[in-house]
Amino acid sequence: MLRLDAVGRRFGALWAVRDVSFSVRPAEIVGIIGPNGAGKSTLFNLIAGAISPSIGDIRFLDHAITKAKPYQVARLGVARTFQIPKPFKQLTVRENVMLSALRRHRTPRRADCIAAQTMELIGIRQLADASAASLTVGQLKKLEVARALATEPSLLLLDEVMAGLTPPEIKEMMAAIASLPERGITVLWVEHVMMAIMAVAHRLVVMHQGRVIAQGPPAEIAQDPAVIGAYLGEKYVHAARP
Amino acid sequence: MAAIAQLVVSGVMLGGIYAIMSIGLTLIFGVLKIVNFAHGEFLMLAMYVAWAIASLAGVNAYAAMIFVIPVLFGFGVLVYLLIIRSAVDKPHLIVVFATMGLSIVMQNLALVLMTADLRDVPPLFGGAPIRIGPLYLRVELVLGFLISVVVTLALMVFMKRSYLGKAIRATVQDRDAAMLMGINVPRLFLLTFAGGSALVGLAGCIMLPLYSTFPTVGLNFVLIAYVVVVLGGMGSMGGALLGGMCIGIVQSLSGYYIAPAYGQLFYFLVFLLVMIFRPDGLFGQRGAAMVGINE
Amino acid sequence: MVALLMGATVGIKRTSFSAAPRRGALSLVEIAVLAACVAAAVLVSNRYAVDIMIRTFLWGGLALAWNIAGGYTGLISFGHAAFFGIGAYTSTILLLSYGVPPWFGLVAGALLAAVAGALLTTICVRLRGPFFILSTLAAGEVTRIVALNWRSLTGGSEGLEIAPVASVANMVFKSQWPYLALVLAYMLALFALSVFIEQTRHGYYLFATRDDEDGASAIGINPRNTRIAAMALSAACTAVGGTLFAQYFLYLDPTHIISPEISFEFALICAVGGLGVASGPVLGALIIVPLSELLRGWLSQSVSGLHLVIYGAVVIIVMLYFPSGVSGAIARAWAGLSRRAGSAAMVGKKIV
Repeated sequence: MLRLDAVGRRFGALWAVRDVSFSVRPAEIVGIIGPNGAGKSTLFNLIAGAISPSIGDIRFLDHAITKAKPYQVARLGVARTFQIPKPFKQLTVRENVMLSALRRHRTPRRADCIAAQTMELIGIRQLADASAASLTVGQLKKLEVARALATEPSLLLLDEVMAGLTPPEIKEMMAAIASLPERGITVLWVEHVMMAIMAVAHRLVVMHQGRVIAQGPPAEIAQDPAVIGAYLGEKYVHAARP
Repeated sequence: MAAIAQLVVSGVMLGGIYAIMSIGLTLIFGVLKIVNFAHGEFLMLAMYVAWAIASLAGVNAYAAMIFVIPVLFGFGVLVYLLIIRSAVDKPHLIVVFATMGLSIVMQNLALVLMTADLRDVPPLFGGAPIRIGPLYLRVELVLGFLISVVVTLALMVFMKRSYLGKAIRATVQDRDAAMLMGINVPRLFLLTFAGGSALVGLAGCIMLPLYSTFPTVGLNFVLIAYVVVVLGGMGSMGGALLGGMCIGIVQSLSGYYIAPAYGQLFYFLVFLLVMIFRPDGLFGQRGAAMVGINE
Repeated sequence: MVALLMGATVGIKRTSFSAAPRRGALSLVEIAVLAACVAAAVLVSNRYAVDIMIRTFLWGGLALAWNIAGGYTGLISFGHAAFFGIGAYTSTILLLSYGVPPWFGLVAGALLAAVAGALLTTICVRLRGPFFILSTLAAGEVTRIVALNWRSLTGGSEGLEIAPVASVANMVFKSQWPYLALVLAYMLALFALSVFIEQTRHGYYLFATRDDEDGASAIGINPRNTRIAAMALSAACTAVGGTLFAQYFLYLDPTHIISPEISFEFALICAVGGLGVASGPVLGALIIVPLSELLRGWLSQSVSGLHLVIYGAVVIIVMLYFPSGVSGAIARAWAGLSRRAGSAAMVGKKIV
């Protein structure tokens, strides 16, 4: 569904992302993890269209989205959340979600229905008429996800959605994300909160210093010496069980 | 050949004066991130006060500086406390309209109190021009230019060396970080706004000998000031100086070779061109214009 | 500041500085105001009063046009007088030089202004905040200077005059009534357009582009095209107002028509009335235009300019203490009253 080929991006002399290749199959939940500075955010923005790769290709379904702008990527069916939520502050929660739904449903009335369903799914229905500017961090994150989902995407890009959530909220979000493949939505997810992503993702891509150092199911990744080395430092590599 | 030299040099000198007129604006722009749409009226006020002192006390406009600068500083404090302070953190729209309202009030108060008559001061030395090589230049122009350059350079040194200067530069770059570093940003805002106004006071004294003052004199110059600020880059003193000189030269040359009326047109075109190709100005922070001011 | 504004509103906790989408039909206040306008138009016969009404409705329409770009899309322009001038001059030149009736000249002016607006926005599309505002100011001034100096086309500072010979084809009328009807229709049409925008997805897209460009991009909105379209529409509507102006006052000259003062007025009326709501510009015009005419009448006798001092002071006060304008203040007062009356059924209902 999504395919990256030798994607790289440099800023001046620094390669933030280098020679990254992987693909995401339909109905998968793929997670991208890695220590700080690994280039996860850059990669995320490359896929979402906010920046373009210096080299390499990105394809979504049959389209080359390497140089696509964010709104073009969105129109193809890729939705994204923002790490620092960007709600439309002058509007209510309901209106925020409706906006996303308007892409596919022409009238505000029908968009309202979709918005209601989406808010129900994410668990923010009761906040519908609150101003987006008045929400807590946790609520804003949920709004971000709701907004992305209301565009009825085929691929959902999640950018560190768990940060700032309380443990019960994390559990709710995990359940919501896990249910997405059943609804026909594929997920690509950058995350730091290990507990969440290790439990829910089908497959992980580990990045370190701009490169992919490992790919595979969470159980394998947890044992991978390269991964342990990247996170904890070389001297702990011996801790990996054979 | 001599004609071009004459035009360029007088353009440069005029530009220096434009620069000092704009430095207050660029400082305020850079530190408070607001546009003071009444900037031209501050200049008008300065020119009137200078005229009043010069006429009453029988001194020339330059001497009047001693009085004008503190008056404008005080006025700046007043405007800041009454109007700007509550508007600074709100959407920039509010400051824009509020200062616009102030501009209307000031223009028309001037009209009411001083009538639309032009006021000016007698020229120095009876109006005889100075001769520098093959060029003939008005004394007031040269004097104004020299003062402008000296003050601008002094300001640049001040910005680099003094604590206050560094605090200002820090706040221009990142207001929140500056606050975290212990800089009293609200007080800095007050000082910057008042200081910028004081600089306009200085500019008014320099400009009065060259231009007459009347209630809407600010409108002509404020647009030039915006262009200079944009050209030089928001918050950059050196940029304002060089930007001012560019504009001075453009105006001088186009005024002579094309038509005086079109002189104004040209610096607007320059402005629009700069906006298209290098919106952060020649010396401004990259990306400032894209991000906007209040982000 | 947001919290302060939210103050007394019950049900919808809206920040309400700028517009938001509209639910349902017009509110009571709006209907009352519009009805009052129509009633006044029909009933009042005093020549002076009718003249003020004509100006008020015309400026109301012009402010509504400005609001499409400024209030809904966040494109604050201080150069809209350029579009106003393009409309006025286009129809007048076509009339004087080619005998084209202003009814058609109106369309030509609107199209030309739309192109100009699109061009301006394309050039300035990356600019934000004060930079954009200053660019529009510069563009307006460029237009003025060009108009002033292109004598062969515009008559320069001598201006253009339309012969006061009554003729329906030429949109010149002897009595005030047809003019009154025209400008009232203009204002009502623009009001309807604004409400339409607020109620449909178009409005949503404008608000989204205004509030958060990245967020809007992420849901598939093309911010650049949205902005260009909004400005073009706003410019076209402003140009139509320009034609009406030309036909009523019968005299144009660049210094007065394409001036920053006029640009400011459009923006000010919206700011005072309430940015980004359809009722804002109408309320603003109803307050500002008669006020400035009356002040001019009372005070200019004694001292020229005093009325503007008061006018400017009003602006400052409104901006600092009533940022959501008169319509916002009404909304809050209404909501406050309802709350005190114990009515909980305000949820979901937009008041003003």
